[in-house]
Parts: sequence; structure tokens; C-alpha cells
Amino acid sequence: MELVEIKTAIRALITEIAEDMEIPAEKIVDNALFIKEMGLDSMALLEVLATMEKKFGITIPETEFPTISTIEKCAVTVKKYIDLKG
Amino acid sequence: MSSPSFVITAASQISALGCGIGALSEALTKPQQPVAIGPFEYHAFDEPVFGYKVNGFDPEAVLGKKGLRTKDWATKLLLGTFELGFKEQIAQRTAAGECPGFAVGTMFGSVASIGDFLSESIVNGVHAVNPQAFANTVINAPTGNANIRYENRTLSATIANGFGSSFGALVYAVDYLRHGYADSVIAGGFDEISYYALLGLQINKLSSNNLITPFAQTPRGLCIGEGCALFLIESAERAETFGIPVLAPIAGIASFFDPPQTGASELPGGEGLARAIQEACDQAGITPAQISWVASDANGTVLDGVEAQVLQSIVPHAPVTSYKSRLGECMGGAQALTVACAIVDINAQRISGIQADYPHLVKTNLVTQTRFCDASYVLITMLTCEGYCGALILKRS
Repeated sequence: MELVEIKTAIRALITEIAEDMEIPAEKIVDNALFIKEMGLDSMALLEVLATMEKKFGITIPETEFPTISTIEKCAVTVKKYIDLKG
Repeated sequence: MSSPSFVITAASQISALGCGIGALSEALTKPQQPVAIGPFEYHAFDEPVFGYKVNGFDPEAVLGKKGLRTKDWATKLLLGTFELGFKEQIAQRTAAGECPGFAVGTMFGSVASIGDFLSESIVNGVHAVNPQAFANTVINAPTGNANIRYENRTLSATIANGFGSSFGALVYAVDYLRHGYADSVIAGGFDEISYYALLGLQINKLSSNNLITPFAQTPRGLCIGEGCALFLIESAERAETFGIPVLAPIAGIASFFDPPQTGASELPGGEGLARAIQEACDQAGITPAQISWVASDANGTVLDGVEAQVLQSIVPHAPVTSYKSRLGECMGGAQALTVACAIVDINAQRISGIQADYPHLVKTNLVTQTRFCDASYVLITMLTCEGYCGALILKRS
């Protein structure tokens, strides 16, 4: 699974969530901080993680959560656990 | 006992008969057929199941897109009903310093959300569950969402009285107003069709031929429905003072508990319903003989026989209909939807019959086709399998 594919999946879900929260599309960029810059909330982030876990059949430990602050970092973490899963 | 002097000044509904009170006018004159229910995301029945699904409701068109993504169907039904009937009223009244309270009845609330939340965790693992869905897994989530959307800061009550939940909400609302706790209350009820509700009803309760036949000689069982109906209720004095048009005065409302009797029949005796009808008549200052017609709670089950006996003994002269023949059994929203239909009919000077013809209990004066009736007082009855029974009398405005 390529990083770009993972990023696309994350970005698509965040876009969907952002539309529902009326967050402007221009704020959805790979290196924008989810909460401070995009305006998402913690529940939305949990949804993103749960969706990625389900989609890719992985489990991301809660210890990783604090580091998942942007689309880029989220994709890197997801790829890490996909690769670990083998 | 003093008469309640409360009136319904606005109403809204979403059901198999369409969206909004206006939709009922034409829909009530036509038969309605159940449709196949499903498929369900995690479960399936061995045989096809039929029910009266909501017709013509597009949540996004009514509510807009924002904030709908994580809302379940039950919440959308309730919010949609609020939006169609009361959005402007709530905004105007709130701006004027009067905030209508909310009293909403539901039997199952968001049981679909609860069941699916658990099913997802079982099928796909706990990590796969969407945390945002958890907020839907409480029975008062839909009402809570209404509070948020309409910035309600006063009464917010979810009434869970089983099949009589919406009637319970109406009783609650009238009592609340009677005590002077609020100037107005938006009250009613809703329920949605779900796999989990059907699972419970499937045990000897669902109709064997997928039809709902109120007061049938041979009860075949009920057919599930879904929908929501709400009413803005306030004092008659207030409506008159502010020149608010009245849809229908609530001339009387009463409820009692008549538990199923032990023994072979396991049916209530009917005394509770009889008391409720008499109490409601007393509040209205009328005798039962002045009731013009009856909108009953009959839903094709053995309970219809008990209701028929009571009606025959108290209001033998009155024609009887049951809107559940077109709405299905809408559980926690049932009586509210019946009231909505009755308001349309009483103001249109007609009785919408069951729109079907089958051998029915001879002791019922059952209306099968729509007929003219210049009614003064309409009785709405409730008799549930849990023993909750009630009577509400609408007066023609």
C-alpha cells in the first residue's frame, strides 16, 4: 500500500467530515494541524482513526494518537502499521 | 376537575403518508400498501418483512447538509418534523423571550443505532466502531439533537412509555402547561423501523399476511410503521391574546393504567380505557353521546377486541376509524400521528376510513371509506399491550 493511496483515503474522509462541519475546503491540506488549523474536533479524529483501522485491517495503539496531528502524519502512521501487519 | 384549556396551534408530521400536515389531506383518502423492509446492515430475516416506511422525506433537502453526517434516521425524522413545522415559530418565539419546551415520546429511540453500534463491534471489532456513532446510542439523543439545533434552554423531555409514548408526551406537555412551567410546548413522538424493533415484534405479533387490519374478525397481527408527529401546544387564552390561529382545541386528555389480566387471555379488561374516555369527556364538559367519531388505536391485534368492546359500551353511536391502516404501527409515534390525521379530518369535515374492506368485528361501527362528517368532538383512543390507555378529545376549532 503506497503512502499516496493512504493519504487519498484519509483526505477523502476528512473532506467529508469537513463539509459536514462547514470547514472551508482550502483548509484541508496535508500539513495543516487537524484541530488548530482545520478546526476539526477530537471526535472527528477518532472517527478517522477508527475508519482507517477498519479499512486497512490494522490496530493503531493509543500511544500513537498524540502524534497524529496532520493528514501527512496520520498517513505515515497508518502505513507503518500496514507494513507491520505484513 | 377543571377542563384543560389548551389548544394546538401548529402541527407537523413525517410518515408513510408524506411530509407535512398538508400531505395528509390527500393521502388519507387513499389506501396505502406496506413495502418490503431492508436489507439491514448486519442482520437479516429468513422471510421478507413489510412495513410502512416514511415516504418522500429527504433529510438534506429539509435540514441542509451541515451536521447531518453522524445523525441517525430517528434523529433526522424528529429534526425534519421540527424543521417542517416549527422552525420559524421557534425562532420568532425565542426572539420574543418565549422558548417552547420539547416533550418527545419514543418507544425505541435510536435502538437501530444501539444495535448497529454493538453489531459493528462484534462483527468488525471494537476498533472499527465509529466513536461519533456512540452519541446516538441513548434514547434521548434525538431530542437532545433538537435542543442543540433549535437552541432550546427550557423543557426537554423524552417520554418512553412503550407503544403509548407519544400520548404520554402529550399528557406530559399538557400537565407542564397546566402547572404554568412554560408558555408553550412542542410535543409528540416518533419511532423508526429497525431490525431490532422487528426482532421483538416478530414473535407472534407481526401480521401473517403483511397487512394491517384494524378490528378484523380474525386478528392477523400488526404491520410496523415509522414516522413522527409534533404539535405546538399552548393555552387557549394565550392563543387568543396574541391572535394565534388554532388548529384544534384539546378539550380533554386523560390516561390510566390497565394491566393485562392474568389468565388465559392476558388482555386488559378495558376498564382503564373506559375511565380515560369518561375523564376526558368530563374535562371537555360533554357526555360521550356528544362524541362525533373515534380515531382508534386498533392495529390488527387481539387487543382490538378489547377496544371495540369499550367503544361499543361508551360510544356505540360513533363511527370509528383507525389511521394505522395506512400508517402501520408506528410505536412511540403512533398516537401523535393519529392526532395529526384527526386534526386534518376534523377541519376537513370528514372521516377518513380504513380504505379497505374485510370482515370486521360486528360490534365496531367501522368506517371503511372516506365520508363527510361535520364533527364537533373527536375522540382519540389509546390502548396498548403494556396496559397504558388513554383518551384525547379534540374539538373542532
